Amino acid sequence: MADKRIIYQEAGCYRCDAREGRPYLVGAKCRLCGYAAFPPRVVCPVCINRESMEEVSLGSRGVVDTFSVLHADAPGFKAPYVVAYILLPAGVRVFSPITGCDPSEGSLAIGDEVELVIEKIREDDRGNEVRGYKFRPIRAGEKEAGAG
Amino acid sequence: MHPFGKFLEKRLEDLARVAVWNAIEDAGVPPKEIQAAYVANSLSGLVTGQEGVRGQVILRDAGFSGIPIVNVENACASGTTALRCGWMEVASGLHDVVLVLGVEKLFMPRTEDSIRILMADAEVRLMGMGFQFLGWYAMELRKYMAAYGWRKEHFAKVVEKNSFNGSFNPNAQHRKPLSVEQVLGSRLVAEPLTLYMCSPMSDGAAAAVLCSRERAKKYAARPLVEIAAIGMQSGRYADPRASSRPSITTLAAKEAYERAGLGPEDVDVAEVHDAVAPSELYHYEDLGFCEKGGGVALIEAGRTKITGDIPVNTSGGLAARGHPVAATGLAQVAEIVWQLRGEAGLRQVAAPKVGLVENTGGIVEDEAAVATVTLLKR
Repeated sequence: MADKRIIYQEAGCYRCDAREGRPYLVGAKCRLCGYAAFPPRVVCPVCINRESMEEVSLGSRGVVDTFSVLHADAPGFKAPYVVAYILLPAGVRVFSPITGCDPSEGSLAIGDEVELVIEKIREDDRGNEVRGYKFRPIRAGEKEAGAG
Repeated sequence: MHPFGKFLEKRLEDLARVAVWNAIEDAGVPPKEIQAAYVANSLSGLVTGQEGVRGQVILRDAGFSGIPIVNVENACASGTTALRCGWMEVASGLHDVVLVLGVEKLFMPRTEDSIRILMADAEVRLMGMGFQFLGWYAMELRKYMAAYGWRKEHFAKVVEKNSFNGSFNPNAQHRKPLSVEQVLGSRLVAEPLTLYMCSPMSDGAAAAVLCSRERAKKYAARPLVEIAAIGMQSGRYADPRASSRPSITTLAAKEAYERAGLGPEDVDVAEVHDAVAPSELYHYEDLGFCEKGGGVALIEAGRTKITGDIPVNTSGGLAARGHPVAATGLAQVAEIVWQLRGEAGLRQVAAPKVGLVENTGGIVEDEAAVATVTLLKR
């Protein structure tokens, strides 16, 4: 049997803060119009300018814009599981699986605050562990623990 | 059309040939006078391995070769994208008689293979994150539930209407009328959506023959239907302003209305892209049939039934008729043509003059990748 590997999916889209050890998403922001993109893009689609985008941290916290509990499997994902669009402070909507949340109606709500984690999201066809970004709900009492 | 359904024993070519010849016979056009063709197909490259020149292979089987053939791919909106290409070709004067075909064969011996392939119509990077089409619709609809108090019962009412309409459609995949209770009682797929709210996996084909006005008058044995305009728009993706800006369907509709010199009040019958039946509710507002959030009032008042003042999805829509991706748009067009000619049988609405087809396709980031709105008139 071949050795199992750990694969980082879209590794350029997130990083870990060296001092605090807190992960954050990497995006791009237009110097001219303020448009922010995730994953990072080279050309601003509003200005259609290829000089104006620069890499920025999009932070590690956001709020649930909308979500669903999925009851059908997808490749690497066993139902039921929770997915959401997360609205980040920079004004970007990011699709993400949700962890740390019971996959049942009522366990998550629009407007809930969530925090980025980098962890195993699935296994690929060969059984390798695929790591990537996910968000988890911030529980009451954790909210003071850093402004993200 | 070739009826929509599950045809494991048929090839892509078999479905296409039937639709092409039905369209030719219907149009009364001598087949040798077809000068060019656009063939819409989204996913058969992954199903059969024939990634290139599918249109040439498919039409050779239907008897057509030695003419310009263009392959068209725009996910679920491939069919009306091909229509738009053919419309431009005739309008430009390049050719007078153009065939457009949409064909898709998704059923495979192992259904999980089909499901995996279907996902290729959304941005592939999202697949590694657990993205699903139905989940996207579920998330869109949840926003309306939160903002406007829409409920699952309203969603089920759309299915009740469309499944009733589909029960009269000989080309429909599902012809069983469903009650609100049956819809709500079917299994959860992507909360808040249940199985019966969603369009099925399908095989099928639909075709149309486009002619210049002069040629059409020469051939036509039946009342002529004119393409008044087609509007088209692609997505803007992950722009936080998108949710407060008009949807791409709204923009495509605006373009079509302006080009045609028509407005929503002129539309007598419409086919809309309800990949999940409740999405019909927000397409009402996209198309100007109601104010934002007003879709539920339309369904509750029965205004979009066949007997209502703005009948929508008389064919049964995608959930009842079936959704063979690239064939859907031209099946929508076929339904509106039949309605405008008074040939829709038990589904016929009272003397329509103007019909509308709305077709959307694909998902990139957080938005549909393409939307088209076609206005047809007698």
